[in-house]
Amino acid sequence: MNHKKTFVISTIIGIVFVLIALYTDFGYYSTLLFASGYGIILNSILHIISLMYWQNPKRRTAYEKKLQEEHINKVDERKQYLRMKSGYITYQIMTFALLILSFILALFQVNTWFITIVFLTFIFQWIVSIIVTYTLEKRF
Amino acid sequence: MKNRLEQLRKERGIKQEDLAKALEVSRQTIGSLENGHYNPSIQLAFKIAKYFKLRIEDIFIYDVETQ
Repeated sequence: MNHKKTFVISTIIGIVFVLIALYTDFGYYSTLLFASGYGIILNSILHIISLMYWQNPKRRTAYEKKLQEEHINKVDERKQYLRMKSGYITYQIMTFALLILSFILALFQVNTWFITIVFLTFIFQWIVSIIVTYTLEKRF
Repeated sequence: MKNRLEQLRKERGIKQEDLAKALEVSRQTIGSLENGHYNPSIQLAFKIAKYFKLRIEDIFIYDVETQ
C-alpha cells in the first residue's frame, strides 16, 4: 500500500506541474515544466499499474516469490560485492573517459565552456571520491 | 581458498536452491562458492558452518599457495 501511496503522490505532483505549465506562459520554462510533469505522471502510472498487476490475489504466490527474490538480491553479499566492484570500475572508466573527452573537445576547438564543464566534472568526481573515501575511513 | 561445500551439499542431498534459501543468498552465490570463484565473508562462512553443523575449518580450507 505504501508503494502505491508514493506513486499516487508523485502522480499528483506531476498533474500540478502540468497544470502550472498549461495556465502560465514562461515560454521555454513552461514547456520544460509540462514535459517534466508528463514524465512524472507516466512513470507513476506505469508503476501503479505494475503494482496492481502484482498485488492481484491471483498472483499472490508469484508476487511473494518476486519480493523474496528482490530481498535476496538486495542482501546477497556476492551481489553487494559485485555492485561495489562495478561502481569502482565505472569510476575508473568515467575518469578516463572525461579526460579523453575534454582532450578531444580541445582538439576540435569546441567552445571553451564545454571543455571547462567536462573538465570540472572530472575534478568534481575526483573530489567526491576523496571525500567519500575519507568519510568511509572514519566510519569503518 | 578451497572448500567442501559442493561435496557436503551433495552428500546430504540438498539442492543449490534450498541451500541458497536457507542461507539467504542467491543460487548463483552458492554456485560461485562451490566452484571457488567467490570467497565468503566470515559471517556467511559461520552461517554455512552452522547450517551443516560443522566447524568453519571443516568446510573451508585455507590454501597458502593460492593466496
